[in-house]
Amino acid sequence: MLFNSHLFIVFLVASVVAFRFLPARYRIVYLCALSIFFYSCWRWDFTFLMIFSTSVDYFTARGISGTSDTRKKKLYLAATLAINFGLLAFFKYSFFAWDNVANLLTLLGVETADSRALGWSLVLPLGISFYTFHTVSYTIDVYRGAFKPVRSFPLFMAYVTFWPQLVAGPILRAGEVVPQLEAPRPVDFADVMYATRRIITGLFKKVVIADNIALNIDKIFDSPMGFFSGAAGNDIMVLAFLFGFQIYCDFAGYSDIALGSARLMGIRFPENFDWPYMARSPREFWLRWHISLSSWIRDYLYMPLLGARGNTLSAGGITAGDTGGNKTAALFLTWLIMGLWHGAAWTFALWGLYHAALVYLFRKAVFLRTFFERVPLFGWFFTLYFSMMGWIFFRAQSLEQAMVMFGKAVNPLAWGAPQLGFPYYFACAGLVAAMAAAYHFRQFARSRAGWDRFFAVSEFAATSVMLFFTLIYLRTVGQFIYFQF
Amino acid sequence: MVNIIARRHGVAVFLSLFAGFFAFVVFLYRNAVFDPNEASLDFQTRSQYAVFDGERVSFREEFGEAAEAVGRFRGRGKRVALWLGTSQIHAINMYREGDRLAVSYADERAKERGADIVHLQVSLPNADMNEYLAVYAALRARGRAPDWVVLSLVYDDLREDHVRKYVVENLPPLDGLKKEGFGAGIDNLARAAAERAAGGGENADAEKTLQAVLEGKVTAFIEKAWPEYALRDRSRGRITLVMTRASYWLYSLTNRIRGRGRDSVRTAPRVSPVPKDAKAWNMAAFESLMAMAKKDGVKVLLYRAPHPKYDGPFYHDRADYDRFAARGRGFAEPGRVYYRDLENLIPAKFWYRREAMDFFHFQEPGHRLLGNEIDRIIEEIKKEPNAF
Repeated sequence: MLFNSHLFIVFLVASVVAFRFLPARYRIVYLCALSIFFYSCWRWDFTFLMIFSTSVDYFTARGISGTSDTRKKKLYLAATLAINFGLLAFFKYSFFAWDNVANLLTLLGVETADSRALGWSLVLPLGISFYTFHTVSYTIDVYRGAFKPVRSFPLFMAYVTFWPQLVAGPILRAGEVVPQLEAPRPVDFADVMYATRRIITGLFKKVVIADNIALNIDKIFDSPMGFFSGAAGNDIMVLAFLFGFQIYCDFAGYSDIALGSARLMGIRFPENFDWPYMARSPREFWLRWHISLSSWIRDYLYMPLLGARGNTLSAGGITAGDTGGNKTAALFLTWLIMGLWHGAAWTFALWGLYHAALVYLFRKAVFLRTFFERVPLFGWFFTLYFSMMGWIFFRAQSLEQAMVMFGKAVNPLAWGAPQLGFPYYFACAGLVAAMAAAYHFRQFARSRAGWDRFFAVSEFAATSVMLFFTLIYLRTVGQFIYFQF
Repeated sequence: MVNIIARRHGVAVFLSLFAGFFAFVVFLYRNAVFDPNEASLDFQTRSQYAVFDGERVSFREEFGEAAEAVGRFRGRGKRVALWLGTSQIHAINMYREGDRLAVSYADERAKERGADIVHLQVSLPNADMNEYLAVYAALRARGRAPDWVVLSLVYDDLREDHVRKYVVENLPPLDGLKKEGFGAGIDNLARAAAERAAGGGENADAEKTLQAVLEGKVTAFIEKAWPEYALRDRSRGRITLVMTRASYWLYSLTNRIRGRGRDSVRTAPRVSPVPKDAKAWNMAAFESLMAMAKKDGVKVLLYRAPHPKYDGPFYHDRADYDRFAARGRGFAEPGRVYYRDLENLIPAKFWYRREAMDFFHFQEPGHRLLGNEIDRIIEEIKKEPNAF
């Protein structure tokens, strides 16, 4: 189900009210039913795949905890990884793999048709990247002894399929969610209002900002190569910034709605975004952007590559705290995989490697780090600019387009008279200014305990304005960007 | 203390629900009559209707009224020249009270020279060839095909890939037209109409989901209980217009700061290339329209739409731009189809809105020039051998 729809509002109210008034013994089954219905709004037939994936991890985790034989434990773990990642690989990467093989064979003189020429098509199950990571993290945590296996299948299924985070995260650990599902916190007036504000904020980000940016820049990004060859670098920079705001508002908006919806049921999620575009270094950016994913990657990929044990919370992102291992290799491999997780294309891999390169540069260039610590404003400029430019790789249709666009955007000699209309520049500057103002206002608000009444009034004003615009713009124009992952 | 703060913020959010909703309702009702198409025009450009001798001569989505007008003038022994075009012929840049559209100037000139011709127009914002084809088919089905069609050739609108809902609603059954063999344009139009009628569009797959079905029911329920809720597009249009005004106010400010005025070098904003698919789709409609006009014995005047002259690189692919014009020229046939290049008809000064240039809409003097020129061309053509 799409959050940006009237149907969702009806679903939310109905499901939350029923959840609160249902006897506790029925709530888990009710949640499972809600989540199945939520997913079925897209495709009911793919719910079986989701249930299958859930079942595999439920039983393998039980098997792991039910034996003391280390070899058997490893076999169970290997089985769940093979099945879950095998499914993910099949649905998401099989065509990509075939196309690369076909290109290679063609280069070697063996003409081979790619997937498009062969007329292949395969539906990517909604949210498969997300619920696969949920289930796998659970089984690994059980294997590590960090979490006891869930005895009740409905409870485990409720954790995996919990609808607020089912199709686009946050990617949460069983230890964070299962205890809350068993015993949700009481929800008072302040919780309901907090949740309501988060939902309104999320819808505002999605339907007012993200969708309107998309309406104006999607067709430009989908232009043939010739357009970008002749475009001015500053225009491409503006497009990259606008896409950066689009994807942030789209994804962070989804997380806001997910957090708010869960809060209404007494379940608290950790934050998934923490003003990433206000980061003052590449490393800080990754402590603020899609925190649950970078934490997952840290605990199940990065730390193991360094020979260390991962954490058990989906917070904190990838930190420099590590022991042993080849940090550089781990860094680049981790980000390569993180890039490919987003999409089966070399542009996504390049995006991941680009960010790894930025983090690496920051690790090595001590003078840069010191300078940014002394002059945070430059750190912010640098990080904002380069993280926005990175979105070129993410959004480009092809490697060639990505390289041409990026090359022009970062090369001052390729800048020239603006060809994009003035409103694009105005929107870009306005969004940066509004974001910085809102961030600093919020920081100020948090540091001024005695000014609480004033900030409550500002919250009243901001929420009123967001609700006003959300009601005008609420319509199902497009799905969330992260649905395609 | 923390609880008090949380509660205070909770009350603030609670009150904001009422304030936000109230503001929404007020805005919704205040903009219930706003035309969202106005939002796509610059804030100093206004859409107009043309009236001549007390009768309306320009139409937009009112196809039925356009057909009635054709019938009415025919009944008085007049020949009807139907202009098909975009907002260029119904919008006036830097509008002032009393400004008139080109079509009414054409009618005035025709009347002065005692011609038996009446100029009418049907224009839609960003209309594409498929919509022109649909308008012609709609009039034809009502027995109201004009005596000739005056068709504005706008290269940029070859990128448009829509057929509007109200255009589809006015279409006659197209099966008969398909059998008459007017080409792929009719088949494409029939397909687009069928998709529109089924509620399908670019994302037809998504629209078959349970989400789409239930969302449709929920939205229909809300709009039935509260009809004004369906008019939110007008509120969106108003906001777009306000944002456009704000951005152009800022633009004017930067021009003043930089000392840029009307005599400064102008470069056009670069636009993305016309997608091949949309172009092919529209060209097929163009061919079908010309085939229908030929069969009906309707004369056609094709004209390359006016465009401002400016410095700097052309904002389209010039070669493709000229190819499109050449295709129009290729239809020319003495006694039946005529082509004129009016690209440079209107001087640059008539394309300005204050210091900025609108590359598509011109001021009222431009409308006077266009209207007089079209009627002059028709007068000139009448003097040719084999003229109509």
